[in-house]
Amino acid sequence: MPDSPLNTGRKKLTVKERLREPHILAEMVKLSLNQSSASQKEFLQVLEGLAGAIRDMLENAGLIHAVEIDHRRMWAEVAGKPISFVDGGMANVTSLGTEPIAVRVGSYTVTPGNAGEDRETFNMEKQLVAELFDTSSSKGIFDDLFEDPSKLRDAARFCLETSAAVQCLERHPKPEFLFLHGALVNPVSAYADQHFPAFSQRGIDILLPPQERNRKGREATFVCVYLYMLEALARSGANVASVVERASASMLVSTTLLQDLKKLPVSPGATDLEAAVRRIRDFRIPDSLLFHAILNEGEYITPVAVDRNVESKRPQYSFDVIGLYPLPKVTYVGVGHFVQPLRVEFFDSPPAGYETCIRLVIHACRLMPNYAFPAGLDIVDKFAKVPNWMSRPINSTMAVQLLKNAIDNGNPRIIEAAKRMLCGTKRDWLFRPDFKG
Amino acid sequence: MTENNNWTPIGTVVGNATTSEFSFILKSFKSRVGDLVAVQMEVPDEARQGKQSIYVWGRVVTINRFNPFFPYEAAQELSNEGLSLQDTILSNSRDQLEAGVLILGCTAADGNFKNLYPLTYPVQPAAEVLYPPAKAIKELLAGGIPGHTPMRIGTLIARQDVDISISVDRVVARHMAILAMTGGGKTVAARRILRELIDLGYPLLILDPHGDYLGLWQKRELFQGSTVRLLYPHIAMTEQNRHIVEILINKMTEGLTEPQREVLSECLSEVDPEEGESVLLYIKRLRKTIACKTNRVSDRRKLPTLSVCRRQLGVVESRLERMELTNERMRQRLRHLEFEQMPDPQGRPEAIISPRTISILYLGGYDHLTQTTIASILLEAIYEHRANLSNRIPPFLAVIEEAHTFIPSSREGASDVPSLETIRKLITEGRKFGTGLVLISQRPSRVDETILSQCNSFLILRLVNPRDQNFVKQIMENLSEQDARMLPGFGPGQGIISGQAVRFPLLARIRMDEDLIYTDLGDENFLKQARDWKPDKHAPVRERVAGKLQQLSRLPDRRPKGRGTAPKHENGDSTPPEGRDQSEQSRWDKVRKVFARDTRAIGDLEAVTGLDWDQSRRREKVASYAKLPWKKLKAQGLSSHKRSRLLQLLEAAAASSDHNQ
Repeated sequence: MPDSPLNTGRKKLTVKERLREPHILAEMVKLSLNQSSASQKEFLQVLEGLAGAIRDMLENAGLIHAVEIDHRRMWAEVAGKPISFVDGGMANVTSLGTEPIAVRVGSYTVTPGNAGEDRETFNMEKQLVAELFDTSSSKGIFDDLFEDPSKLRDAARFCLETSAAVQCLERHPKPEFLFLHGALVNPVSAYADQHFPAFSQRGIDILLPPQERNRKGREATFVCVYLYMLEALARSGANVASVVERASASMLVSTTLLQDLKKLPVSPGATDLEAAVRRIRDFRIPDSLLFHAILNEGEYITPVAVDRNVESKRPQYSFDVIGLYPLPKVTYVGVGHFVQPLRVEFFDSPPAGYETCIRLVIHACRLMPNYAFPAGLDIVDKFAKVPNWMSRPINSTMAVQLLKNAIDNGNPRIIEAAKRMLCGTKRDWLFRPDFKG
Repeated sequence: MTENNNWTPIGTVVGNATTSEFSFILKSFKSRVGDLVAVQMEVPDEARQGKQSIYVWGRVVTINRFNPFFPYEAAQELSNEGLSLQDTILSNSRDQLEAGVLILGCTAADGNFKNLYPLTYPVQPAAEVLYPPAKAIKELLAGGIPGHTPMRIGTLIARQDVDISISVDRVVARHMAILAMTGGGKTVAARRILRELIDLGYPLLILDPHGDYLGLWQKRELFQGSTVRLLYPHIAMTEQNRHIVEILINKMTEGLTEPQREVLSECLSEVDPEEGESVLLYIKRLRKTIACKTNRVSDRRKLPTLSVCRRQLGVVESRLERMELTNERMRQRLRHLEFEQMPDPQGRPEAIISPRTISILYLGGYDHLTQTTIASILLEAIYEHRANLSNRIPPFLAVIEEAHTFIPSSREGASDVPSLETIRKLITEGRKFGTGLVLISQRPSRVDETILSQCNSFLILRLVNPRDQNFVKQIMENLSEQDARMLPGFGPGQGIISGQAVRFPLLARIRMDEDLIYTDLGDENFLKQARDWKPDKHAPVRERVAGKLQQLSRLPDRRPKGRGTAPKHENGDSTPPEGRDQSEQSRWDKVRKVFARDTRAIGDLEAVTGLDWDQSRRREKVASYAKLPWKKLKAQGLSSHKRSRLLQLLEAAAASSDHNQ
């Protein structure tokens, strides 16, 4: 172990300096490309202005924090404490006439500082290979059809991953830290109206512990099942957090932050902050870019409670249930000079405190400084990922089966239709004209 | 996993499999490089109508280990920060092992592993790879060469419960090479093989330049029923072996021309050897005889020839004298060992080669040329006895240590080494006559490639020198790339054995015969010697005498009246250089008159006088120099020393011709 903390040797940059770094410029150019030329000209200026102003407020309000990179201290602090990482992988399985789903969720639990065989364990917490719905039998995950199968798939995946995390926390020894990959609390309104099918008994049995499997009606719907699992995570007593590395177009955190800043003495006034929010929306500046401009490596903002399930979007059918959903506390963390900040989400303040958890995230990212993603999540992602060699043969077999059935039928039109369904384009070799016309 | 007739499954075939190799994912700690593994599968039967079950046997040649969860970047960070992986959240428990297997062949799956056939149908992907028990492997190895006598040399490198035996018949009949760097275990391996052969009573002849095998004599009580003889070189003269003199001249000098050989033969016929007389004494007598003949000869044209013969014999005599002196000194140092004079290999070969006899010829202390000459004479003589089918001696095995000395590569520029042709003859023809060889060397690249490649079996232990490794790869047909990569990594006594003595190449650990280790003949402790060094008993005398002479040298020289004081000059001569030059000039003027018209060559004068002047000028005419005045000789490029020597030559020649007249 090194005797002294790491000195990355990089000086802290101002917002202006940071926005002139090539990697951020490239991001900005990409984002502003689909805007008007006038907007493109102003983009940098607006971003710089906003980032500078927000940073100023955050600094003066004590809402921006810096973490010292000190591997020795960090790993000594968590020595002997089990840390779990949970992530899922989905097989890319397509089919005609059915809606298969193939998902598995794994966990990797490691106790830093341990040397024995029990230092680390890998578990496949949940595996699901089924039909989303199956009207001919009760083997589907949901008890009915839905017009948009992708929503069914998403809902199943959200529940499966959360369920796996709950299961992981029930292992012995219980992890002290648990990190998930993806949003901690997903927006649920789209899956919460009365037309959205409930889970079938098979689905319930897969997702929930035995004592919770006797569910009927609304209790068996996604919105209630998901809530149950989120509450189980939140009250587990472990330090639970999730990490998202992918940039999205969301502006939720920055706009929520600006709203919160209105109440503080550093605020120039509600009008100015509202104007800032408008600018963010007008120029479609995503949270990831804005905080990339604001934060240096090793810095994070005090987590902000965000509501992904605003009242206006909640369907009436499950309005009350959605109202019970926890509001995740979200922060952005600068983990590397050349990479976008990570989004880290919590249920309220974890037992060890935000700072410890975020330091752990940063140091886990520092183990792969160029990739800048927590090493444990990288490991479990590789473990749980469904490899191509699993998915590809399934698709091939299904395609062959379909074509065989069509050929056995003998009707040339059906055969032609099957070919067209399987092939994405008329230019495929199957459609070359032959001498028969 | 279910077991297959108590053969433990250790992995699964993966990737592309061929009829010569396959890879498999290995369960952790279930196998090592060098292990023999098996896969049971079905192949088309002979009639191509059905299937038959076989075992495919292979040797693990590589194992690659990687951790898909441990990225390169993380390794860099750990290294830069001085972190231990175990202190972080990184994973080190999911190593994947992929083993590469070289297929050896296949046997029936019915439990009979004696017959090994080439595999003609690829191994099945996803098949189970099995770890056969020791019994099965022993049976596979023992199947080997039917009817041949096995010789146990050790165990498989990865399986100490599996003995390896090699074919004695193939070793003694078809030659073997043991190659390894110093400390690799050559001597241990050689002793193992020799011990087995001694137990079988096979006659052995060991050429031992450094005394590595003298300990066998010390441990002779371990070889019940066998005799160990330590021999020192001695070439004795008999009526039948007078031609040895010519052989020695051929081997130790530039040789003789045809007329010179005739003259020598004449002289040999005139001088009868005394029975048992050493060749050295005989040569001394021969030289005296030739000297007398030179004085008496009527035909002066024979003089140069006689002189050449005498000179060449002189070279042989001085070498032999040195040899005998060294010989005696070595024996004095090894007083506790009983050396015997080497019997005449021509006259009494059965005294050297006989059943249950190990003859160790100790060549320590002899120069390179003498060693190779002795070896050549000895091996040629006993080979001839076998080749002539005289049945005087049984088949035997000759062990040649430091083979690079006796059969150097042409790259060494030593193509005239006497033993080279002899051993070449033995190795190419010896198979027919039962004269087997074991060649041992720590520098294979310095050994003659053609001869070494005639060995049908090889035991290669540790080799680090890249040139030696490449050389071995060239001469061994069945040394795979993976096996070649292992050469520098072998520990002492570990190696690869391949060739006709075994069924297929095997990684072996040679068994050490600890009871054959003899420590008092090991490496000398020179540090201790230097520490304990004391001057010899004559040192005080030398010191006293030197002191007295130094005192004398400070006194001025005193000469009798009439002669001037002659101060000492740098060259040690009393005559100043310019004075000496004057006297030489006058002597030259006097003697050159005698040879001014002499049409003989300088070489002739050398022959007559027995003096060497300048080899490069031997063909030049005497007159070409004699006609020149002294000062002109200098202009010819002759140094002062050369001029003096030329003067001496002409004066000696003149004196010789005066004497003859």
